Amino acid sequence: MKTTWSNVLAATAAAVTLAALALPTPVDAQITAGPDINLSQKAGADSECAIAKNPANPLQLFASCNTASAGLFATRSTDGGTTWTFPDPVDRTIADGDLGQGAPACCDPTLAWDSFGNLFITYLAALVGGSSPSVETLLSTDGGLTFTPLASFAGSQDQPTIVAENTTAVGAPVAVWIVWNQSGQMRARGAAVTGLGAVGAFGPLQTIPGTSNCSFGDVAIAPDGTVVQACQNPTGTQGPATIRVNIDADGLGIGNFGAVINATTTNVGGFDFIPPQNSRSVDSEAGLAFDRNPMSPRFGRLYLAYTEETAAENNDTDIMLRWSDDNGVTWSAPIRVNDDPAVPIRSQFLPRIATSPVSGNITICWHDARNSASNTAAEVFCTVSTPTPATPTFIANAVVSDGASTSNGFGVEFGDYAGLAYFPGGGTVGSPRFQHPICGDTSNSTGNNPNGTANFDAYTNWMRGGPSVNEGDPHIRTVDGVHYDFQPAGEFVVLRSTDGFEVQTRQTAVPTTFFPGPNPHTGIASCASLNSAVAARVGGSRVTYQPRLDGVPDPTGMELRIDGVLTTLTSTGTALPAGGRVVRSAVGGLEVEFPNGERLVATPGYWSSQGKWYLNIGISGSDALEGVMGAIPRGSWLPALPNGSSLGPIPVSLAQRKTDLNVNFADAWRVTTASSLFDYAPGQSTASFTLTGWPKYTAPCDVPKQKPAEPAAQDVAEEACRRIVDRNRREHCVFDVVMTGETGFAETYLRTERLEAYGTTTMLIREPAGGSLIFTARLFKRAQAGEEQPRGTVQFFLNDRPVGSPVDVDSTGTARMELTAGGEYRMRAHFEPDADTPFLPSTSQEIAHPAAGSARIEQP
Amino acid sequence: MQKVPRTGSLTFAAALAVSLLLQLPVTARAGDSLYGTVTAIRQANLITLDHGAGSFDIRLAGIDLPEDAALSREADRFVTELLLGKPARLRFDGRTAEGEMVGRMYTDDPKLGIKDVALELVRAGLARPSRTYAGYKYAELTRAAAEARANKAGIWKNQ
Repeated sequence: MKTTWSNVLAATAAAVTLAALALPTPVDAQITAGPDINLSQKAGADSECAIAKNPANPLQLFASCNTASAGLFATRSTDGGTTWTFPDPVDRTIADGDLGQGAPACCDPTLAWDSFGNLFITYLAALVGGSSPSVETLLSTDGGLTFTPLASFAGSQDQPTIVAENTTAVGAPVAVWIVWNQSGQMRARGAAVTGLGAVGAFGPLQTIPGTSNCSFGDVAIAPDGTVVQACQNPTGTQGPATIRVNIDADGLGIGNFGAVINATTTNVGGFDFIPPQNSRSVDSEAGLAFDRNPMSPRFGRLYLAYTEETAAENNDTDIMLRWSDDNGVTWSAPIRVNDDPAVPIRSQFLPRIATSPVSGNITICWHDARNSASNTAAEVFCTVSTPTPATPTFIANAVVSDGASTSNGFGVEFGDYAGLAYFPGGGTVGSPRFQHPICGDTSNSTGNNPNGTANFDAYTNWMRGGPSVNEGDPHIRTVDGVHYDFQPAGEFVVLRSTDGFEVQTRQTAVPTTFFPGPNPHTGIASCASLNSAVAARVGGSRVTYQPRLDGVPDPTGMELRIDGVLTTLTSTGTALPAGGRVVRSAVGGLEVEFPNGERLVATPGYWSSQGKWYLNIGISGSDALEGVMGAIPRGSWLPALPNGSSLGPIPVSLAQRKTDLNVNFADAWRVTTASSLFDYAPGQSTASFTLTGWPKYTAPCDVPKQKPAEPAAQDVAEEACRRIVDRNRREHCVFDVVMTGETGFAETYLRTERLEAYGTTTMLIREPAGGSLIFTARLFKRAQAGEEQPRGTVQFFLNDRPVGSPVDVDSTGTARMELTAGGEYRMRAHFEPDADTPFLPSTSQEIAHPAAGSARIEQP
Repeated sequence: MQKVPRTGSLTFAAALAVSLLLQLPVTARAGDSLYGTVTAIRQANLITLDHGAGSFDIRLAGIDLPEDAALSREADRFVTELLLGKPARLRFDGRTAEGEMVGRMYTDDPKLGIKDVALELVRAGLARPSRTYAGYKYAELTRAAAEARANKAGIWKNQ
């Protein structure tokens, strides 16, 4: 039976009606969080945590918290937050009186890690043995393994904050600043850092003007070295209060901080009791962060996150954001960051803001009791915005904790602050890590809190961007999980971030005799197109995967070019100059591994009757939010426009929807000659692939000089697609097969799905061991779901030649090879799954020492 | 400024009961600090701090006052000398279900230096460490009590 236009229209009429009435909302958050990790696992309360990531080696993280026992809880990771060890494994604390671990600590750890690799740990010393209280700072130059005292500032003090950032100031490639409250006023001292372990003397004590009775704030360093501090005045009430800032315009120069500036008022006082923290109370917890990405359109913008209460003492606390484009002199109106409904009243508190110096993206995390009927149990929520729009547009809030925590008055409850680090690094290709929140937790979601749910342990996890896809007749799944169809013909920016990461696709009009029904999200029925090529900017390289440039149909394969040079796509891959790799996927097609860990997968299929290649495109682990596959701003029906603005709610008028989607939105994201990453035959440009007026909204779906495809029957399509597991993908498959009559779409979808479900990633790690080198191949499955682990063997290759016999992968997914060290070498590992497992092979990126060359390692 | 007349002395048992009632199982001394001036000593362990935008009555954490009336009055005098009319700092533990603010008080006076008032009371033999409070991570109170006992100070005079 042939499917007819009329019966498809009838079958989808209900969906059209619903789509026209409903404002689409994202179904998934863009943020993907890893499982909770209980870092401390100590008896008693561990809370008020800080965390830092080493920008010089983003595999290294360090965290510290208040703890019940002497000192500070301290832990470190050297694998991007997967596993954690302790600088003092005996008691898991530092600054507890043990030799070489700093003066005994009271509390309030604050951390900074600079680009030289200096880790700074600042805390309040304990008043023990007749000592005077002080703000102590330790320095670690070995990733938090050992510490040396750096500075000690005496006085009656509270709430120190340390920050260390790159600056363009003369003599201070890195500036480090500490601010604290002393006898009721804010104080500050700063120092220049010129290298690893090379921290200059701290400058004289600065008493910050106008900060009497002002505390509980933050400090940030602008790219030019300007320093801005924020504090809350007064400190002792339940509000209202004012968040004040002071600017030290000459940074480490001789000038002091300037006069106080009122940045905002807030109804949250310094001791504001709210149901989820009813013993300890909260303050507004002002937090500062500069946009430090020179490529960002908001480079140098200063953000201020804080807590507001919609009316004094109504406990309806919200997380707010203001920003300043003049280093804090003037401030924007506030925007509300949490997206829970205004009613019922629920508390959000303890915000923490961080910007990525790489992308300029803004992340805010906080405690949120929106899901607690009694407004007492808090989860950790986070959201992200790109810096692009003039007004940040945050994506849907996402829960990143695995459980809800109720303080029950334990210890200091959640304390006065939580921690957040934001820098790319760690994880595996396709599953990199960006943000790392940390806080006290009583949920015992991990089952290993010695106090069960009766006290706080220090919990962290990691976060990355959500997966997005662009498949078949372009069926988009945005980074925040919204499905919509995008049918214009031409070349488009589908995903980008302000650090240079960018993916573009080419969409080619498909002539069909069949006219499909409307898309449930947009309500628009139109002719369709196909992804026919993809291009990406990877570090400094341009990677394209296209059909032959001369347009001659070639069923033997698509062409890979790197910086315009035709390159063979291999399963061992081609390393890119600025990091990353291009490799042949296990199901055929292209995989691009970006330097920060993002992965682009393009799975091709050849439509022989039309002589056309088409692509299923998937992007995983990206921090990018902009483009056709980008995040949909709150209250909008489509991803943001390139300038960050929103198209707003879905228009009631179908005609307006067509114009908004296929003209305004499409043209905004259309590639230009200047922005194109594609390769072209002589005489061609991106304009050569633009088909104005496509998609058509009525039959026939004809394209000049092309023979239209005949549709397939619905039952034929359903049979072809029935093995596809994902419901959305199966529906897309049926749509595509019906429309084109090409059952090959189903096979391509199946390959795509197989790679997602059973793809593997092999990581190769090199560890010196005496006179030997141990190469460890660690195997990861790409899919998070499923208990089954890949089984098989790993073959190590030394300078492209097999070395030794294949090594069985053990129960931990690991295989090792020990070689005698010496000279230059290139090493890689290839995983071959056992025949009785569904998993797919993978090959690690190559480790070269010191660069590619002849081997001088002795083979075993 | 006048010391606020005492409204009654706590027996040791009563003090223990209050202590148990107030017990905040605080184990990590995080403490938002609040600076101000002490305007009244209601008891040795109940101090009024004016923070500029208001005032709080602060219950000292971690100690029990002596049941002996004379020693109790001496404790009041001791705290009055340390704090009354002087700058001080509260490190806040939390608020009890009854609304009482509990924390540690520190002198913040250039002449006196920075002293933990509860610790000084114990060191002077004018208070005992509370058995239910675990907030002093370095056994400071225990050591101070041992010092007082060795010196036969205050409550340890006849022991």
